Amino acid sequence: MTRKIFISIIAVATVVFGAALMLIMGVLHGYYYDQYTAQLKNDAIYISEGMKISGEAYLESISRDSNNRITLLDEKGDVLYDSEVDASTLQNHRERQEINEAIILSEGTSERYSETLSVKTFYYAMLLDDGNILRVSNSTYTTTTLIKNILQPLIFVVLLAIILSLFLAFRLAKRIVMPINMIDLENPGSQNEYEELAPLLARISVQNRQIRKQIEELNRKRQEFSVITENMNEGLIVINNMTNILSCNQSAADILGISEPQTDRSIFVLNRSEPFRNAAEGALAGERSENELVLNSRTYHIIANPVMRKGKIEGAVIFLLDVTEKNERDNFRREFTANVSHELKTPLTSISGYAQIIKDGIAKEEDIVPFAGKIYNEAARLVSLINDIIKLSQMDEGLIKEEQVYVDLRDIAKAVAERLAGEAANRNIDITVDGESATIRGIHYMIDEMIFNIVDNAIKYNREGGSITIKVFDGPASIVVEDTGVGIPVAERERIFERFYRVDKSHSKDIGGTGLGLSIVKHFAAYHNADIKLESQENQGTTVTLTF
Amino acid sequence: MRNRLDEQLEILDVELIKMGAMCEEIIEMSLGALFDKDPEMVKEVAKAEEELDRKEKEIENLCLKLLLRQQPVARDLRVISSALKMISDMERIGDQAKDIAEISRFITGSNYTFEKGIRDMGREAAAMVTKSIDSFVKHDLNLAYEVMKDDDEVDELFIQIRKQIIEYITGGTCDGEMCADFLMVAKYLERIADHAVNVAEWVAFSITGRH
Repeated sequence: MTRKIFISIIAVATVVFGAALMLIMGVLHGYYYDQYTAQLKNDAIYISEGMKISGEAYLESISRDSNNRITLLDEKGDVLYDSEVDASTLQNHRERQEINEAIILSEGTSERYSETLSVKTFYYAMLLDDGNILRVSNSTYTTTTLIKNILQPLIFVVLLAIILSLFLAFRLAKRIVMPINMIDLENPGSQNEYEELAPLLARISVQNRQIRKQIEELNRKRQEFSVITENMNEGLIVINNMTNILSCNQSAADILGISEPQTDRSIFVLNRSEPFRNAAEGALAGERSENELVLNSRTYHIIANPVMRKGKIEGAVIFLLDVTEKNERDNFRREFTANVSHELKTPLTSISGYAQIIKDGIAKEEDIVPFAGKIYNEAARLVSLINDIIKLSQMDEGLIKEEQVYVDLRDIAKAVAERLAGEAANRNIDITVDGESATIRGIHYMIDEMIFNIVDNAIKYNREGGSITIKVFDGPASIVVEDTGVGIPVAERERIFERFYRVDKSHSKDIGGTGLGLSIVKHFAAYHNADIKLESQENQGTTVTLTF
Repeated sequence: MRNRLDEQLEILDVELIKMGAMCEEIIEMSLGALFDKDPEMVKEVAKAEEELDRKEKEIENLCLKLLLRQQPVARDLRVISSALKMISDMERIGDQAKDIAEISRFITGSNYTFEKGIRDMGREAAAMVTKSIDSFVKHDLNLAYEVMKDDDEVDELFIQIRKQIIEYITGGTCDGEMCADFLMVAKYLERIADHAVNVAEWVAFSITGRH
């Protein structure tokens, strides 16, 4: 800007200065010319008057004081006297313009320019009364010579002009720009020093509005995106091809154990374990990769996908899925299948063994009845096992269609105690039912089964001559079964509700049962929104509380 | 606009994190080889050690390129020079881990009392390496200082183990060769801890500018 202003100023200055110079020179030149000729004429008249009085001697005396060149010629043009050069050396001047004019018109002027001396000589010639011709001439510098002579001050003036215009350009640029800089671009409408800027400012206003709208739109989209990603349980991380994190949701931050989502640093800052590195690097190499990452005793499935744009890998999207439960369920299912097959196979093996002995006729007559008894017992065991499995699978599939009715917990407890009285008596165990009546809505056979299984376990895992106390409370309805049995080790407490799980695996056959009792309790309790609480002291007893 | 120096420093950062992670892994592997007597692991460690050597070369080249072409000053220069130091320490950690894995082939477990001490030492040294890498990753000065303090514990453990081994040898109740091997392992672990301290010191230097 300063430069442009400077150039403009200096250009104007130069043009004006040049024009002025030319004009002045031109005018002065004309003026001088007239002046000169007039002067020369005056001088000539004066000299001619002098000559009338003193003759040619006057010429000698006047030429000493005058800086004019004075020449006297006869009518033929031959030089009689010259104040500067010896007259005899000069040629005939008849053909000179001024002489010619003087002879014809009695006076003549002319000017001649000498290239070599670069001076201009003005001549004035007049016809004297005696027929001779007097010529007075004087030289003066030409315009160019004059300019050459004043070159030094001229350069000085030009320099001054440059300096002045530089200074002005700076000042001007500053002063022009200052109000522009002062414009508040956020709301450029009101304050405006230059009306020339009005269209620009109006456009800026429009663009401001547009930008604001676009930013709002972007923000909205980003919020949408973040609402979606923040609310998903899966960790989501987007990285660029330098492994820097572009976006990371809260779940990912939680999974990787950092307080809040980080961006702008390498993803390896979050986790640098091998599977994680392999996943990220694999994706950045252009291949979808899946890895498992174990972190804080939970298993995560890492899925990393490359992000391609125009055939180039721009980054990667990494998902972190918690597969701990899924893996556990898979393991559980495998275990369950193995257990079921085993539990089904054991009685079947005995049955087919005894049956084979009888079939082959190897069995003695008196053994057949006990063998048949054993076959019957094992078959009964199989039936009860399959019944239990059916119950559980019905629960799993949600096939229970029975209607809920009002039942009294204490009545059921009493009925169960009666049914199990025989078994308890076998082991000298005393069962007491205590407490108030508590009515709940539920499915009768399920509640019966739950209490039966708990009390049944209390008998099975009790010591000889122990006792069992069943207490029923109302508000909230709950039932507490206390026994004086072997108790459950702390480490096993979580697992006893698993199917087929037994604390003492070696003696399961002696105790009997299917290993599904507590599993059924757990499922039925869940169906009734009941809470199971287990308190146990090893070798002292267990208290199971069911709260509805 | 991100300039080239920043970009390359970021690459350096990522590469160092990777190398640190490799360091942690190789220690885990060599401890596995030592305690679980897994002969496969010995081979794995050897492979990982080569990988680590390659990584060191790679990072070294990157650092030299950065120094020559970008002529960094002040903090950037500090980061690069400490990176150069750190990689040589990390590479040494890899070497020691490989040595431990190699010795583990000749150690056939025979319940000496100092074995538990060596286990503790291994755990502690590995934890120190992890902590020193963490201090680098998180630019955490306190973590770096913690590593320097933890070294005293490892040194103490080493002295105890050494004493116990000497007792066994003078009592003549152990296979001398194996005792010597155990002593070597303990020494290597102690060296690993020292290298972890070095790494932590370089981290502190790159943050504070004092060493």
